[in-house]
Amino acid sequence: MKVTFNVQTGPYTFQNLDTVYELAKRALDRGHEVAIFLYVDSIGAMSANIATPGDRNIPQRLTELAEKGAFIRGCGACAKYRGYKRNEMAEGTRLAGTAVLGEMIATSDKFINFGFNL
Amino acid sequence: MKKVLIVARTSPYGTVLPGEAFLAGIALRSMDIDTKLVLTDDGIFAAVKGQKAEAIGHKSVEDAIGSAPDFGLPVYLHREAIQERGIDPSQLLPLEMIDANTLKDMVKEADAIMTF
Repeated sequence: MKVTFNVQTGPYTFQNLDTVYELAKRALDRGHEVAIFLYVDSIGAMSANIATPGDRNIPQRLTELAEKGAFIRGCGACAKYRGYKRNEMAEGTRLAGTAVLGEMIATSDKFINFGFNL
Repeated sequence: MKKVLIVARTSPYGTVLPGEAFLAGIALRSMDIDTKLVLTDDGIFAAVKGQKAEAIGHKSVEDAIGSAPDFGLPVYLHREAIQERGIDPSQLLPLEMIDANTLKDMVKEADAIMTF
């Protein structure tokens, strides 16, 4: 099965990226295909500049998922609006357009959105 | 073909979210993905006519929502959300209204749902 996770919230403020990490890791371990799209504020989680001494490092977690086979892309326009540069992204992750999100949706068996829930 | 439902639940300008709901919707429609946008809860305010977004240096969410049908993106207004807020429908863009049962059916039919 192919599962796509779409995340909108920023790292460390909301739990969504942590939840997606745990779900994605387990899905990959069970042989499922995983795609993750980082949308709106979650794009900040792709920054390789994040330093969190003594705490979980979310971009490194994304790299770990990518190494296990997860396809991870972030919204390029969202990155530009927030001052993140293409060459600052965590290894295994890349910026892309929303067309990639469309492809992920079109080719997934399950799509799970992690939004703001305001 | 996959059916996508985008649900905008938050008021415009306070957060970027209803604008992002519109952008995601037209992006998916441009790929010929069957996509609907529903405004509910405070997202209803995105369809209020006469927004003066330029006064705060923003792009008009009203203009964005109003242009959605031109991009092939149908927009629906949740009737109960309008009533709960005491909004007169004449204050809103002329978009199709749906009740909670129709919204429930849309949720059931959708393969992918994004809330904003």
